[in-house]
Amino acid sequence: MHVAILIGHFPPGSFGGAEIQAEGWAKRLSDRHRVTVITRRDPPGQSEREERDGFTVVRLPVSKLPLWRTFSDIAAIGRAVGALNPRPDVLLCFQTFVSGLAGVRAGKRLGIPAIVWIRGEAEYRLGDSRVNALVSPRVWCGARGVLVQSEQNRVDLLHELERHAPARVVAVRERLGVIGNGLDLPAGTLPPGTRVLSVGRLIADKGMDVVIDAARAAALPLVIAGDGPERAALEARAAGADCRFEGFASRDRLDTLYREASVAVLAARRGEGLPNVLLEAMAYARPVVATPCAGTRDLLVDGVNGLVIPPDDPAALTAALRRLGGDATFAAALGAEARRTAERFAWSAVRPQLEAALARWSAR
Amino acid sequence: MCGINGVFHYREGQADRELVRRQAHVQRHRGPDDWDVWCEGPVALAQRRLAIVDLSQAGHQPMPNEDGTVWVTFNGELYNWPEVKPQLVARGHRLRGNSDTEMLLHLWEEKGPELLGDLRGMFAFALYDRTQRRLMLARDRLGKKPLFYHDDGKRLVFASELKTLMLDPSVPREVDPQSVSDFLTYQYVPSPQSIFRGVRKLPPAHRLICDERGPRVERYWSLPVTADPGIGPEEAIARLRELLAEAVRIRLMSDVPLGAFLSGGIDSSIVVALMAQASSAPVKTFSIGFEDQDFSELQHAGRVAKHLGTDHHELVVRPRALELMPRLVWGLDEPFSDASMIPTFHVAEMARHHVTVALSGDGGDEAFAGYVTYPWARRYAKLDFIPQALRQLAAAPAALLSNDDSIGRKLHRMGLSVVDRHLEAMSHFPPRERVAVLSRALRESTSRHDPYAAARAVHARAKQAVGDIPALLYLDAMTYMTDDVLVKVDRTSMLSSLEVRAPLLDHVFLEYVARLPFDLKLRGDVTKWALKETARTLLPPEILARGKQGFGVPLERWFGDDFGRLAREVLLDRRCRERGWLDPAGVEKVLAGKGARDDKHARQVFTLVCLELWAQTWLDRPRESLAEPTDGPLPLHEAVAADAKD
Repeated sequence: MHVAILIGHFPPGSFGGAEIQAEGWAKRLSDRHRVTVITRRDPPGQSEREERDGFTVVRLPVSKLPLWRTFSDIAAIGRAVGALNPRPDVLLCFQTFVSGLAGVRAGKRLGIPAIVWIRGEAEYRLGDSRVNALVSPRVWCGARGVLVQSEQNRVDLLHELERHAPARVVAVRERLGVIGNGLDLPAGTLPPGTRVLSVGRLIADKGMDVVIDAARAAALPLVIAGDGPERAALEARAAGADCRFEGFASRDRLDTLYREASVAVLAARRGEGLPNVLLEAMAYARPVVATPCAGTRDLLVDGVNGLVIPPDDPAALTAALRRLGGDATFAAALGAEARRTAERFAWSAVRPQLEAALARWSAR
Repeated sequence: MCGINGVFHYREGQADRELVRRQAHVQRHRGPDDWDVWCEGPVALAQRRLAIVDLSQAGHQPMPNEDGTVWVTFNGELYNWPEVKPQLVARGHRLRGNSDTEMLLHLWEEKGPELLGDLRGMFAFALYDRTQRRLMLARDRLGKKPLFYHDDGKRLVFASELKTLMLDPSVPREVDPQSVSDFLTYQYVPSPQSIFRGVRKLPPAHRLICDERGPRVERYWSLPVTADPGIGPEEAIARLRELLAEAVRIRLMSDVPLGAFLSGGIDSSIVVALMAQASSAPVKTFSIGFEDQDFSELQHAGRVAKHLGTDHHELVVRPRALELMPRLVWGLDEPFSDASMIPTFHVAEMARHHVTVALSGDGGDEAFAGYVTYPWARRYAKLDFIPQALRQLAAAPAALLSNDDSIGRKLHRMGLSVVDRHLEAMSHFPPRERVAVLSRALRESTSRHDPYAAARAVHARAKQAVGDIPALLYLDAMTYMTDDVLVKVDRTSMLSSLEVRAPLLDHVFLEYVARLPFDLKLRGDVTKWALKETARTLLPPEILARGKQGFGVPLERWFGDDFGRLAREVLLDRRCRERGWLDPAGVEKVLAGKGARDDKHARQVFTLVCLELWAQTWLDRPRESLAEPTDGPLPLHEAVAADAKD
């Protein structure tokens, strides 16, 4: 089967969960299928075409004009798909905008089934944006299949449709599937670390301010990995506390950080799909503390494989950190159970699910 | 409405939370709004929720009582909740919100298993008491909500739907030949058996209690069978009106939009009329018709809607039954070939675009003698003054004539008892025809099994109290209604996540109807006389005068020219032959059956097709695939496809 993966950005580069997952899938699928990734040349200066790890990356130029960019992207993606030889059997589009939109349009024109993989809550918060409410449900209905990362994403998506596009509920439900993120499970022994770790882009949605306040109150050393527009403000907030800003961390660096961590925190306020950083920490058998947004609900059972706290509640986070810090046995038990949960998301476990979905939806 | 499932290791072992969670998601169509799993040591309870009453997190399930000693996962609606709630508060219970689920927890604290007597509504639930280490499963009085279970001697697994149960790799996937034989007879698999050996359906009005000694199944309610000859027509009509109005009124409890199916027949019309009286805003009503006008009830429904001033929605569908079959074969869980599942699916799906709950007129035919089979049974019974031994002797030559010979059939029927005559008339494959179509292996393995035995026993109990013919109503309510009508309504509506409520099946109402003398139900040849009289002041006269829309289901027209092709493709396929259930020559004969346009032949062919499609969906695929209707892409049927267009 020839699978074309459509995605706005593709590593190398400092991107989020969707991009890392797209790369992971491209690698995994390419041992049994032909895989072509169609993405944008952003940042500029990357090569137009690249062969690596058994798959091909095609990078399309990006226009500088903000609004025009969207239209030119859609057209360019359509042309690129049409130019692929052999013709792809299925288009796997990461995110509704713009890959999903472009993929569904191109797929219709060329007779290739498109699958849209929704990567986070923001894509289906239809009340937040008129354009979103108008266009996204149409894109999903035009796709052969729609995927989300967790059962809770599925539930929330259908709720949003009920509220903002009730006529589309049935059609979307018909083609909606759930497949979790793939995960590399670290090998070897994983002795407990010493620092509180929080990984994520430094934007307001991720709730890093709450983490800083709580770690300070619990008097625990903190490491924040990730970069973003809020960095300066967060650094100012953390002044005087035992808090280290790592900036963007490579895979190798993250491996070290997870090993050094005593506990991992995700205090996101919103916007999550199935948080990679949580899955990764769990794979390292770290106890995790997280807010109950979307995919977290599928992952965490409070007090069994992690602790669940309300969003925007530094006091609750402080209490959770103190509890874990003061009871090493409890922390270890949570960590061990977390690792068992993470094993559900090992590439070897999720890969058959995606392959079955691709086969199912690409059949004519 | 919801989907429930769970496991209880009553001897040893720990519940597998992850498996229970995955199982829950298989029935997500039953509850798209919320889900959760509660797991502790040997027990796990899961729930998929369709939020209807108390949409807040206070209605989240599985739900514990105040101190967390009792947990429940519940599918259904309890209509007497508004009445019971203040009583519970007065008795000192602390409620967390306004969800009817709480009623189960607090009544359990007070009464234990006897709480079931206090429930009015439809339900299937599992309740676990941590202090007693005891699990109770229960199902409503008439079996509106489903519950399958499997017990392996150490562990009890249960689920609303069979597909959920079968995801558990330790539940055997071994077909019970007797159930195949029963299916060919009845077009469904009668409770408590299921199509799989070792999997059972908890019968209606039963509870299952399980502790370390294992599960015990007990009946907690029976429909009364003694008629009260003292009830006169006027009293009956006044009381029926009052009770039915109440049954409708309490079913309007909902925090989400609510409507009604309206077929234009008497049952759904009277329900809508009473809804209109009880609500201030116009009732939303839904009807479907088929492009084929012969079978369209749209005009009648439209007339009733106009008369009652409802907000009426109509949908004319060109049935594409072929595209729908994979979904239905998967959705109905067991082999099932009541073709009216096709229109029921369509109307539920249409209604779901507008409402989350719909009231229906189901149950009227069984309660009030609405089927033509009852006057027919009475006509045949006129000969029954002759002792059966003599009649059998006279009917003996029928054995020499073919099944298709009408004289032979009549002669044969003369030799039968009332109940057997009724059962044969209701059967898709009566005994002789069933034997002709079964493979030798299946014939031998079911030779000692009489599909009618259980039904005869049910009939015999009622017959002593009310007589031969009235007891047929009781029989149909306990068998056909439970295992066919209610299964069809539950599964097809749940496929669209729509909750259906049936006021004519309110148990308080039915307990009264059961007491009515039979001649108020079937008066002369007028079926449902008492219900029609009750409706007289509510509905236009021409609706009351309408006869029953026959059993005719235009299968061939629904499948278009594809029906014959589909049947041959499916039944003559190598897979079907190698399965070894059917006799190829017998199948050929049914396919070639003279008068293939004849209704009965079409139904027989449809039954065989459904059986084979079921086997392909449920047996030929790996177990994990049972979470989805098909391995390939599901063809979108018309209504959805139209939606999906830009």
